[in-house]
Amino acid sequence: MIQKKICILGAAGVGKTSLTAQFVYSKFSEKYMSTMGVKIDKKMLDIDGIQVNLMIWDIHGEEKFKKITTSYLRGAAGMITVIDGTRPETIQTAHEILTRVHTDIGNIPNIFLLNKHDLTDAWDISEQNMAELQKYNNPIYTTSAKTGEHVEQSFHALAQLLIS
Amino acid sequence: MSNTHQHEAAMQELRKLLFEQESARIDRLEELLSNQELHAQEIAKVLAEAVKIRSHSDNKLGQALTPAVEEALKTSIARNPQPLSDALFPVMGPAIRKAIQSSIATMLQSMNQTLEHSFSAQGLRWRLDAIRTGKSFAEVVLLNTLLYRVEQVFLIHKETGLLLKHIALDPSHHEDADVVSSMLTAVQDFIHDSFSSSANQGIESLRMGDLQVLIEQGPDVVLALVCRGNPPLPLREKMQTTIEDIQHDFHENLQGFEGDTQPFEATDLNLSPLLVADYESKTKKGSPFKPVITLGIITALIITWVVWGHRQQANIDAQWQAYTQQLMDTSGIVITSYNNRDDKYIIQGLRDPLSRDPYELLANAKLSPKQLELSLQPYQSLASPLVLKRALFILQPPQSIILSLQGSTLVLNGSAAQTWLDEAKKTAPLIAGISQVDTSQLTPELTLIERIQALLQPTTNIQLSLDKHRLIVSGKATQAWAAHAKKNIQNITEITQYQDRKLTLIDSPAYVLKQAYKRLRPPSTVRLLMTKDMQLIAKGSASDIWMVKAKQQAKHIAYLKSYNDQQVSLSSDIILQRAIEALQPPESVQLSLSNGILLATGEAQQTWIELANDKATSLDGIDRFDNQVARFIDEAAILAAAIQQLQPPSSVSLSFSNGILTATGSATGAWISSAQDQFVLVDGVHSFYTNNLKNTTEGWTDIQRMINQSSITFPNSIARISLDIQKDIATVAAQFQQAQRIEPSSKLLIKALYSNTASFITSLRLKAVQKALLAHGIGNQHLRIISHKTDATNAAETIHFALEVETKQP
Repeated sequence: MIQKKICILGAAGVGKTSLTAQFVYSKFSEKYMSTMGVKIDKKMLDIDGIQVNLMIWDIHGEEKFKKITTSYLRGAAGMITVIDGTRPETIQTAHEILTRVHTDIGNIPNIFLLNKHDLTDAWDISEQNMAELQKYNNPIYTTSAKTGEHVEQSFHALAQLLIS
Repeated sequence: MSNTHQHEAAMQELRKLLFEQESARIDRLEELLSNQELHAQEIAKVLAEAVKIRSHSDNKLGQALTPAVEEALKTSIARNPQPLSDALFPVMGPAIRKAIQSSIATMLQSMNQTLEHSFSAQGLRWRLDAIRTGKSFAEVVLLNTLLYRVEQVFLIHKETGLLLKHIALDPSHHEDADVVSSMLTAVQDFIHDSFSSSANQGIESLRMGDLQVLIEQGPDVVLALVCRGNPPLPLREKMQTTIEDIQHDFHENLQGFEGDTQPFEATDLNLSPLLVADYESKTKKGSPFKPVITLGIITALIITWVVWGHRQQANIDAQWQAYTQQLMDTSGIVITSYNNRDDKYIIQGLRDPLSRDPYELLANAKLSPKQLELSLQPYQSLASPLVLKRALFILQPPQSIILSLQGSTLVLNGSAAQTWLDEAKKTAPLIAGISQVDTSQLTPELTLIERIQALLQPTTNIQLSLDKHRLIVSGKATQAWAAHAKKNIQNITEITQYQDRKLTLIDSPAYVLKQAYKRLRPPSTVRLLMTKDMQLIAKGSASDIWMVKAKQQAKHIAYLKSYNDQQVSLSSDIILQRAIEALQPPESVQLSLSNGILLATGEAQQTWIELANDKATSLDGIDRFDNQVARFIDEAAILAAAIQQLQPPSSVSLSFSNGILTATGSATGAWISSAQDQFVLVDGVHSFYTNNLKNTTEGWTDIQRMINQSSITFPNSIARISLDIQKDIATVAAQFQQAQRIEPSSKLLIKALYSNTASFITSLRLKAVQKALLAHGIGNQHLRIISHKTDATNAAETIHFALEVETKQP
C-alpha cells in the first residue's frame, strides 16, 4: 500500500469541502475546518492494482488561515486547485495559490477542478480564462459536487499522476 | 600443403618443448571447469569463507538467498515438519513459555487486585460503578488502580504526517489510525504556527481527562504514545531510544520515503515494548491485614448472630419451663413428663376438669399454642379448693347458704329450704373428698316474704305481697329497681310468678311527662314532648309569662334532665294586642295577625300610615307588616287648601272632587295662567280644569270670537294653498298674535275633518297650513291640530280655526 498526502485548495466558497464530502470517508467533523483551517479525510483507491491511500488535507480558503496553510502543505505529494465556475475571480486566487505552493514547497502534481458545473446558467468561464489555466499544463476537469460529475475521475487522475 | 603441415608439426613440437608444464596445468584447469563434480569440490573448499566475506561487505547475499531459503523451508515443512519443529523448539519453546507466563501474570495481577478490593468500601463503590457502566468488576478495578497504560503507539513520517506504523492494545483502534496520524500532525502544525514557536520546538504532550498523548520528535519520524493515567519520566527516555533505533535501522527507507509503508512493518519489534502499563499494586501494596480485618468482622457478626440466637432460644425455653412449673403448681393438674422435641414442647399428665384451663395460663404467659403438645388425662382431685368447687357444682346451694370444708367435712352456714337441705345431706357424702356434712351452723329459715324483702330491698313506696307462689309488686319505683327485682326474684325458687303491673316507674319518660303536664300546666296552644334521654320539649305558642314560669317549674320535675322551649312562640292574640297598643290605629283601621304577618286595612291619615310602617316590624312576634290602609282624603280640607293657595277672585268658583279641581265663572287671563302654575302645590289635587272659566281680559274675547268663526275652504282634491287662502291664513295669524299679546298661553286650534278617502290629501293640506303659519312666526308650540274621519263627503274641504287658553294637565 502506498500512502500519499494531497492538499485541496482554492478560494473560500468554491466547493472544496463539498467535493471532498462527495468522495471520501470522513472521521472528523466540519468544525475542524473553521477552527484549525484544515480537515483531513482519507480515500483508498486502486490504481492499476496498487492500493493508494490518499490522505486528503482540505485546507480552508479564507485569508486568516494563509499563514498556517504553508505548514499544512508541507510534505504534500500532490494538490487539487478548485475554482468556482460561476465566479471567474476565483481563478486569480488559484494563480496566487499555485505561485505560493511553487515558492514554498516546489512544483508538485496539480489538477484544476472547475466546480459548480451544474449551474449552467451562472457559468462564467471564458475562453481566455481557460487559456490562462492551460498554461500550467495541468489536467483541468469540470466538476459538480452536487451531481458528482467528474469528482471520482479527477481524484483518480491525480492518484495516477502521483504513482506514475 | 606439405610444407604447411610440416610447419605445423614443428610448431607443435616447439610448444611442447616451451610450454609443456603450462599446457598440462591448462588441461587440468579445463578439466576442473568442465567437470562439475570437480568444480563443486573446488567451490566447497572456499564457500564458507566466501559467504562470510560477502555477508560482511553487504546484505545482497541474504537477499539472493531469501527466496531459495523460503522455498526450501516450505518444501521441508510440507515433506516433514518434525525436523524443523525440532530445530525451532529450543527457540520457540522459551518464547511461548514467556508469553504464557506473561498472560498468567497479568491474570493473577487482575485477580489479586480484584480480591484486594472486594471487601473494601472502595471495592463496593467500584462494584456499583461496574454495574452502572456494564464493565466487569476486574476491569473497573484495573482502571482505578491504573497508574498509567500505553494504549496506542503511532510512528509518523514527520514531513508528510503519513502513518508509518501503528500498534494498539485494542486492535479496533487500527481503523482510523492513518487519519488520526495526519490530524495529529496538523494539530502540531497548527499549534506551532499559531504560537510562533521555533522550528526546533515541538509539542511534547496533549492531555484530555486521563488520556495523554506523549510526542517525541526525531529527524524524520514522530513517535506518539496514547497513554491513560500518568506516564513516568523514564517512558520518555524509552521513546527517545526507540526513535534513535528506528532512525538508525530505517535510515534509508526514511530518506527515500515516497509513501510506501511496507518496510516499516518491521518497526513492530521496536514499538511493542512501548505498550506498557503500571498498576498501583506494583508500587503501593495494600495492607495485608485488610482482608483479615474484613474476615474478622464477618466472623464476629456471625458469632454475634449465633449467640443471640442461642439466647433467644434459652429465653423461650425458660418461659416454657416457667409455664410447666405454673401447671404443676395449679390445683387439679399433675404433670408427669415434660420435654422439647422438634421445636415442640410436649407436656403430659392428669387434670381435674374443674381446675384452671391450661390454655388460659398459656395465653397469660404469651406463648404460642402451636408449640404446645398437651396431653392431660382427666381425674378427680382431692385438693380442698377443688372438692369445695365440686360440692358447689353438684349441690347448687341457694345464696343464703355458704359452704366450707374442714378436712373431709362439708360445713353448711346460713339458712335454706328444708327440701334443699335434705337433698344436700343425702348427696354430699357421695362427692369425692367429702365424707360427712356438718349442719350445726345452720340458722332457722326466714319467711318467704322476709327473704324476698332481703333480696329485693324495696323502698317505702314499694309494696310487696304474696299470693301463694305469685309475688305482686305495686307502688312507685325506679326502672333500675324494677329490673333488679325482676331478675333477682328468679333466685327465690318458691316464686313462680312475678306481677308488677301496678308498679309505677317514676323515672320513665311517660311518667315524667305526666308530671311535667301537672307541674307546668301549659295552655292548649302548647304541647309537651319527652325524649328517651329525658329531655322535655315544649312546642306551640304561649304568653311570655307562662314561658317564664314553665322554665322555673321544669327545674323541679324529678328525673327530668333538661327543658327546651325554643319552639314555643308568643301567641298571636298577645302579639296583636301589643301591636294595637304600640301603633294605636284610628277606628277606620283594622289590624289582624296571621303567621307573623300583621295586616292593616281601612283608611287613615298619611301620618299614621307612615308611623305604622316605621314601628310595626320592630314589634316582637311580627315578621312582616302588610299595610293595605288607604289614605284618608278630606275633600273639604283640600278645597280649602286650594282656595288658600290660588286666591281666586269672587267671580271664580272652585270645586274639588276625586282629585280634580274645577274653576268656573270668569277671570282675567293673568289669574288663569297663575292658577294653572300653582295648583300642583295643593296636596291631593292632581288636575285643574279651566274649560268653563271665561277669560275676561279686554279684547281677548272678541279676538276669540273672530278666530272661532274663521275657516278655509279648499277646492276638491287640491292641497295647494291659493292666494285667497294665504290671505285668510294671514288674517288668522294676525288675530292670533294679538290674542297672544293679551294672553301668552293662548293656543290656536286647527280642526280638520276628512272623509274615508281623503286622509292623505287632508294631511298635506294641514302641513301646508302649518307651513304658512310658520311663515308668520306661529310655530307648532302654539298650535293644537285635530283631524278625524267623518262620514260627511265634503268635510275634508274645510279647515276650522279656534282660539283657546291652554289647560294644564298633570
